[in-house]
Amino acid sequence: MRRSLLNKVLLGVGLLSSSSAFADKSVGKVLGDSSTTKTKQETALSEVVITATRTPKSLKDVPVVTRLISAEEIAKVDATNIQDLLTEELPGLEFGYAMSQETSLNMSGFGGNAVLFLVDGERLAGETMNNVDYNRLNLDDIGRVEIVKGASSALYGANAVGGVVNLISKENTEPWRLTLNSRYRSLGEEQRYGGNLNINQKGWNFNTSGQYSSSNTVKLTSAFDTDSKIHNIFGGNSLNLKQKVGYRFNNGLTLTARGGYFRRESNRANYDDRYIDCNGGLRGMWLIDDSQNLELSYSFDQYDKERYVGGVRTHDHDYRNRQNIVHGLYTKMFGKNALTVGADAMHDYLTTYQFLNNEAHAQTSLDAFVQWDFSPVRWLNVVASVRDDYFSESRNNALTSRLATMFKLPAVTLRGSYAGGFRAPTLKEMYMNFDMAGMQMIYGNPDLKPERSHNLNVALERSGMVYRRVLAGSYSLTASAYHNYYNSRITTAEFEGDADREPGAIYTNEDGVKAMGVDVNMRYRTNNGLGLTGSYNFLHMVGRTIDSQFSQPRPHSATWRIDYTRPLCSWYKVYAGLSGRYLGKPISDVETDGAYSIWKLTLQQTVWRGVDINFVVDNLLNYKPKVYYWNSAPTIGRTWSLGVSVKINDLL
Amino acid sequence: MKRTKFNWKWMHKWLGLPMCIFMLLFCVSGILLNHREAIRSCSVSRSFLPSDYSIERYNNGSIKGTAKLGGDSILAYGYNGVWLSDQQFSDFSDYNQGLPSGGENRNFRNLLRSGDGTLWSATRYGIYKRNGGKWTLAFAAPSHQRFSDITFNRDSTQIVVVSRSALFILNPVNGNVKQITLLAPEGYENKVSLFKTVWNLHSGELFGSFGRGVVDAVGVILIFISLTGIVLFVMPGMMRRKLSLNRKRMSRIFRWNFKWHNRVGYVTLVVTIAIVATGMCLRPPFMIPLVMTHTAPVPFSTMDSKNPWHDKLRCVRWDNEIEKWILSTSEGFYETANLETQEPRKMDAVEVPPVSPMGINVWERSDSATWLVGSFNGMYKWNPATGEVIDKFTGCIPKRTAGPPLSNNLVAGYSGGNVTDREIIFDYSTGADNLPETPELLKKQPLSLRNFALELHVGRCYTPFLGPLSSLFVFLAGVISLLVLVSGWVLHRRTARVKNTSKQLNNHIKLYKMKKVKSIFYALMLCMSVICSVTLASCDSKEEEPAIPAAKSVAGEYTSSMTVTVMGTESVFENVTYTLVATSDSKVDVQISAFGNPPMQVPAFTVKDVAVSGVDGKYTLAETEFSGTTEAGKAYSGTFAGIVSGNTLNANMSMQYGAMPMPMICSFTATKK
Repeated sequence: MRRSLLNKVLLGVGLLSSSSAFADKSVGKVLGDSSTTKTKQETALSEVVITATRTPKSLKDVPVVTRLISAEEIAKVDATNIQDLLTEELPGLEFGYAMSQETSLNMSGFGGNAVLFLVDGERLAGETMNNVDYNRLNLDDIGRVEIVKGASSALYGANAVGGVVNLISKENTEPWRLTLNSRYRSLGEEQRYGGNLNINQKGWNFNTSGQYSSSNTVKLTSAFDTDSKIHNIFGGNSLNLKQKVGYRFNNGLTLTARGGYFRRESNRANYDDRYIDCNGGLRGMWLIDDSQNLELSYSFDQYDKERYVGGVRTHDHDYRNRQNIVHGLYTKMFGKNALTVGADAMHDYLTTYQFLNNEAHAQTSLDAFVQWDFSPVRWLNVVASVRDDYFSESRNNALTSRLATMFKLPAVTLRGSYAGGFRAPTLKEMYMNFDMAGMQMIYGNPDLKPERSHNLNVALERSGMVYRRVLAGSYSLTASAYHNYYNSRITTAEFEGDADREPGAIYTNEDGVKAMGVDVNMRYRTNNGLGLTGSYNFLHMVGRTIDSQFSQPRPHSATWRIDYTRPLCSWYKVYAGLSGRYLGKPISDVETDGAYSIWKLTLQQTVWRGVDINFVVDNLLNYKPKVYYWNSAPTIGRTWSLGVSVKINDLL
Repeated sequence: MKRTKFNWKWMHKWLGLPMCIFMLLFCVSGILLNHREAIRSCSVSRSFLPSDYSIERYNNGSIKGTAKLGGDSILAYGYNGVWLSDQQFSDFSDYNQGLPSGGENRNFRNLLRSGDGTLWSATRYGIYKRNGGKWTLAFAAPSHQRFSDITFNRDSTQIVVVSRSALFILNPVNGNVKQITLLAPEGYENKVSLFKTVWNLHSGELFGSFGRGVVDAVGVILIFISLTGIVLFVMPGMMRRKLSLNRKRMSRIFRWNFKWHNRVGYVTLVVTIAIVATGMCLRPPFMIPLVMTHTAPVPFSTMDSKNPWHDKLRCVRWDNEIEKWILSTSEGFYETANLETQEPRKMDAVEVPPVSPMGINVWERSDSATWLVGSFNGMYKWNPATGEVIDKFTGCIPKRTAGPPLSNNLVAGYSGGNVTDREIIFDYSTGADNLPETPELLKKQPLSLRNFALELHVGRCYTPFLGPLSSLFVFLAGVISLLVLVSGWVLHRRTARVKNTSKQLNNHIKLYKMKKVKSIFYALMLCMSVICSVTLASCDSKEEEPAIPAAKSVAGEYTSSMTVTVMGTESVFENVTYTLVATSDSKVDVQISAFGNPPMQVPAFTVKDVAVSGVDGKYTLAETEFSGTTEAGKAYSGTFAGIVSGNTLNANMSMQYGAMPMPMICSFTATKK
């Protein structure tokens, strides 16, 4: 019995996800999904998600609006990294470039440092600009991506002020599975090669994945264009290797060890920057009995930056961030209700060229949280959580809470939530002492207070079936309104200088900003293979918005896709999709990008057993910005890519 | 009430039979048109053609223009070559010595006489120079390009050659040719008319040689279906009338034809319908909305060209009054002061003469300020300085109304009063008035095979039979062809459903076999599409531009202030010196003195091997990428480009210095010391 239940959890949630493995009844019994006759059309809403409550729940039963990007959708986008995927799938989210071509993120008015990126629930070390190195987030072995907008600090601690993006690894139950893929993209003559091997044998699970990609520098505009801020997208290469080994004991205990290596080289005009990451972890999940589960894990992650000129390391841009994290999570079921208790400890070490004399700083953070998932009646679910965090270096203490409710009415599902969020000042913001290209000094501030946010969210969801002949299919419609109050925002302000320091800029806490808006998502898919998807985001900000030259909020944005998929014979299947995204004109005091839309045509063909060929024409309408600002689309016009993926086990 | 069943069989049989004949003509002529260059030396005697095609009164484009040779002698040229004549057109003799034979090879676009009396001519496929009593090839048309005009530059020292996609400068002294990179016009948007897209789709040209090959194959398939269809129509009668004793053999032939007529027709139905439908769209009435609709070019097709002038250029002239070049293109008239450095600007449509889509045929000086512009849309006097346009025939301002782009005067040629004893306008249909009888020499000139195929393909040769309906011939033929194809498909589906196949001839055609054939066909199409896409995308249309020796002319020292822009902020540094040192006839090293203030202080450095091209005091320093390390060990890299006009150097440089993430964009203008 226990084995079968465990298998179910591992199937649904993923062996290495941050979920509690206890949830043998999670999908079917514990958390309220009483549906036993799932139709094909309901499958999407029955997908299990974990990010919103840290316990597995089906998408339609989770009380916090969660956007799920499935493996199928990832394949449709044929994205190499998370940037390509998210920009195509989510309106209101935009990646841009910063001065040294670091990637900057803006999500619904929040900057990148307010969005927490997780891989299987684990934080990542290192940063470029204001968040993690997105190139590390290789999608080759990702099974799904879950996005929870709004504050989730009560569950995840610092940085989850604006939202959480959780990448969940793919899980295979077949005895073995080998997938190889390659792609050529005309933009920058990018080449990508990847592979994934998964073996399940007598309780053991081995998973090896690797991806290598390289690209040339792309010339966006004339070298003499004085209006444009960005002229080239620099090329480079990256290697991403991961290994996982898991063993399932008979007594419900599962142990998993993982290791990863990442190396990226960015070829700049006069130098090469290298980014190297080594990570590892050990996780144990113990299904104590049908109602209890315990998870303990340790995680290590070290991210280095190095600079080379002519192949010789210069040591003037050395950077190292090392994180050691231990966490524990215990869940106890009381019928349909669940109590979750957890605690984490993290040691964060940072040395960087942006500190005075490359000095090192370290910080220990401790936290504990408790969550009560309460379902008194079938149509009501309430989840309440409280968390307290302590940071040794800033000696800050942060107490956050969240309350989320869901009413399942006959016609619609109504969700409402309040969440408090916070972001503790980072070591960089506290101790920076950086001469920015001789133009300006930037100083850290050890007296910074944590940023605070209050998030209110109301959402309506309706889903159902259409039974008219040609139009027969399923649909879902979600409309949500949100209001974020973001206080004590950490930003830079002018610094007049003092006895020891010359004038420049200094990190400081500022008054807050209010961001409110509406998200609308529509999905419709007919039984004969036609699909329509559309999402729209409206954003309104009050106060001093995030208005750097690199990123500005856009009030209107939308994404859409119309696709058609159909097997034409036993060995030939075709998928054709026309997708696009629209970004409205940003609200900004500085001269910046205008509104634009970019369209993409995708043709995927399964031409033989397990052999897929993807042909994509990106920027179909040949959009080219007249002036390339930091937040302009980094495109040179229409480009194409051709990819091949072979599932060796299917082929054999 | 009894419901009458539609008789598909009757329709397929009785519409199909006459259509077969026309379909054969469509297919053969279409395949010929698809290989224009291969058949350019082939001609068809006009004696086989309707009287409309015979040359009477110098019509049918036999005279396009004239040029004075000396004394009373003149040269008259047109679609079939160039002829020596006199000012009264009283005598004609051959002047085509040295030219390759064949109508397309001798299709003259223009003829020039330089100051020293040398004759230069532009034919479709070559620029020729008259040398030693014969024409010698001076510049052959680059692959897949055709010439449309030549003219002198502003001081008549060089010849500007116009192909349909590019301009070239031909040096008459040394014969050197240089391609001009014509800049994109102001407000350029890469859009093409839907008509052109459908045209290229119909011919297969949209996907280059591969596409043409596919369309040729479809043509062969349609020929096969037509021929087997005729056999199927004729043979039962022959068998009934016992015209042949070997009935068994006849039966076998019939079955074979039946089987393959059905099989090939069914499997290729989609592509045959596509060819017919796209063909219908290229003639009235469907062509009208397509001409008016402009879209982005199909990605990765031959129309998706980086060249903004791809297949658009027609003629060019220098206008002394406005001191600008005027370009006649398929998109209208453009003007620019400099073909190489200034973006052409589109001239206002109400201030230029109307020109037929078939292109400009006459563009001659009327007086010092006025041009004569003639096409199948009439002839007009045009003053570009004032924008005044007067109809040559009526003396009125032309009405700009929507309608067919053809006037009553299909102007095909012109001879000015300074060449012949009077002004002569040659109409394509009616020729010219008050001239001596057309000489036999001209009358015997054949029609090029390409033109013949075109007349056949578009149905203009049926005008004597169909009268005004001939313009709808393609549309009507298309409708009938679609009915025949669809009825054939319906019949095939119907017979395939009959279970008792023993009594049916099509019992040979098993559905599963059909599926297999169909699958293989689609797989082949798919593979070819992928190969085609990759091949097309990997093609690089860049062409090397020959550098003309000029390094020594630009060498010297230039000192002035330099403006440096970093992240949109400008700084000016005084006394910066650029020293151009000639290292060969066509290359210079550019030594740049130290500039800037800490931390952006850049020591002196050199940009090596900058290619120089140009003549007559106008030189281009080619865009050159550079990199190096200063003596202090700091790496630098960037891009340099410049123009030297007279003694003035205009240089642009983008430079990244050391670890500075943003470029310094430098602008420098100085006069040589």
